[in-house]
Amino acid sequence: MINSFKADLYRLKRSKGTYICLGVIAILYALTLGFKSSGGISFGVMPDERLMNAQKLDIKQMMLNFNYYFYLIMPVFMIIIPEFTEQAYKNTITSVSDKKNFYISKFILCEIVGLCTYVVTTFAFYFANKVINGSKYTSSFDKFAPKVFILVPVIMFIIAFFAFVAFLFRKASVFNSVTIVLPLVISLLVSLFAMNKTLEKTVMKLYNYELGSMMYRLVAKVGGDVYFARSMAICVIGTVLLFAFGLKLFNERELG
Amino acid sequence: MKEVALKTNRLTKDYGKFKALDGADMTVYRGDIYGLIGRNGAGKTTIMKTVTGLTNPTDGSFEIFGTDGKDIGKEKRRLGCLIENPAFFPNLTGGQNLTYYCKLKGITDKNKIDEALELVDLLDAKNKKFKSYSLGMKQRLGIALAILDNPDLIILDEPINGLDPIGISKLRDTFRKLNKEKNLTIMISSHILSELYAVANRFLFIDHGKVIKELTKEELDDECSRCLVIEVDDVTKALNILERKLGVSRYKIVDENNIRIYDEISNKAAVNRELVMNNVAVSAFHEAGVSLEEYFKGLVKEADND
Repeated sequence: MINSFKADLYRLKRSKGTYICLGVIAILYALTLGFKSSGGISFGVMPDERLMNAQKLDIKQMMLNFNYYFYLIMPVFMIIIPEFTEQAYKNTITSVSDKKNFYISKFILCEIVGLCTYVVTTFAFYFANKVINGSKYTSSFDKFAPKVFILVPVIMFIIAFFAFVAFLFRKASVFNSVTIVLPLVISLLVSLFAMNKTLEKTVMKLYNYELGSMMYRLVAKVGGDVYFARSMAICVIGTVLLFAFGLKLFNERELG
Repeated sequence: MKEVALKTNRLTKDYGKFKALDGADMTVYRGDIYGLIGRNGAGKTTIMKTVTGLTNPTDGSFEIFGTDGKDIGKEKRRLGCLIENPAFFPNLTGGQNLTYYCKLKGITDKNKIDEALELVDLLDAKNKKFKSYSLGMKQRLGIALAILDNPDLIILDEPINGLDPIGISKLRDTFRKLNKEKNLTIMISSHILSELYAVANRFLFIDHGKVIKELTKEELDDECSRCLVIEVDDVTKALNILERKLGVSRYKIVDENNIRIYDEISNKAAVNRELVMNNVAVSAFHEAGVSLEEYFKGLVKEADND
């Protein structure tokens, strides 16, 4: 597995995609820093304005930053999809590993690279914000750091979902369509169901566990310990289930 | 006794109602250059995909160097494969692509890349991006990957596709050299029969997923060579006459009634007369021998009639 990581990192280092991905993240954060506004994309999250205004820029952008969802697509896309579009997986499966180990090593690498991207860029943003915008816009490190790690299970869940989709469809076009369009579809469905008065309460309750809402509520500590425990459980169980189900599907699937 | 490199036992693969492989039995011995011959869709690639783990068999089993196919994971390092078209990352150079697989296989000796590229005459293009390679160069890079790290068995699916005549000839020499010097076992498929004949020492004929015949080069030569086939009632008596009275030295007893004579015989009537005069009943007397292509067609036709 270590060999597989080394090989993929060697390839990623030589891929333009890696630098484009880092460039896009840098631009997004630069805009946030420049405009001193949280920015980012959010779907259906209804932030409590009073709560939002009480936060400084670094925490505010974490609460509302559904950008994470989109930029986590990139590492998964770069690690898994080229194996299938170029059919290079055949070389690995026929003369190095087997389907099971191939799946496991790619899945774990996606999690590692995705998490590193999240942690490193988030802390980079924090320090850049501190240097550029000063303490007026920056929380103390003690307050900021735990919030970064609270989101780790959510980030892992998102990466697991992307890896699952990548192994399921194995085509760049389908992968992009599903991952990019899905949040919009969920948002639309929620809006439609919420229009029904009898369903509204249940739908809104469930919507608290939608990823964007989860990020906002976990960082803002909305919902208390029960919400925190439930969210963690959803993310951990979801990650494990996606891994196991994806492995089973891939192992039984015809390749080539 | 020869070591078995690859053995399949009633290997079957169904795709829905279509039987891509139908109880295929084959044995590849260590040191063999084993040629798979069959039409398009005959099942050659399916055999290769199944034994390399790209697809799971519906039924039957296989073993590689004595290890059951289900536990083949650790033995994979002894395999080198090129299945269907060569597949690499287009934005990496040939050298970088091989470095990627060196890292994957845990090969630390960087010289192995140059050695493999040298063998397939691709060293000069080491720093060119894979996407700029011609079809023949891509094919050769695929072969370089297969022979990287000195595997014990390489499985090559149509490796000479896209190669020019000089490339084919060089590759043939490379296979022979690797086979001779490193005792490398090679399983190779092609629909260019003459090319396969020039390099392989054992053959498997396959059609509609079924193995039609497995034979050595000598047996294939016997089957294809121009010869005189004589069907007699007493083979021992006939041979005695052929050897002592007619000086026949190159012959083969096919079964209890049939003899094949490979010596050039100018007066065939004299042979018949001599046998009959010595009380050997001759029930058939005819010339045989076909080209490899005709032989293959005959086998396929026979299999279709069955």
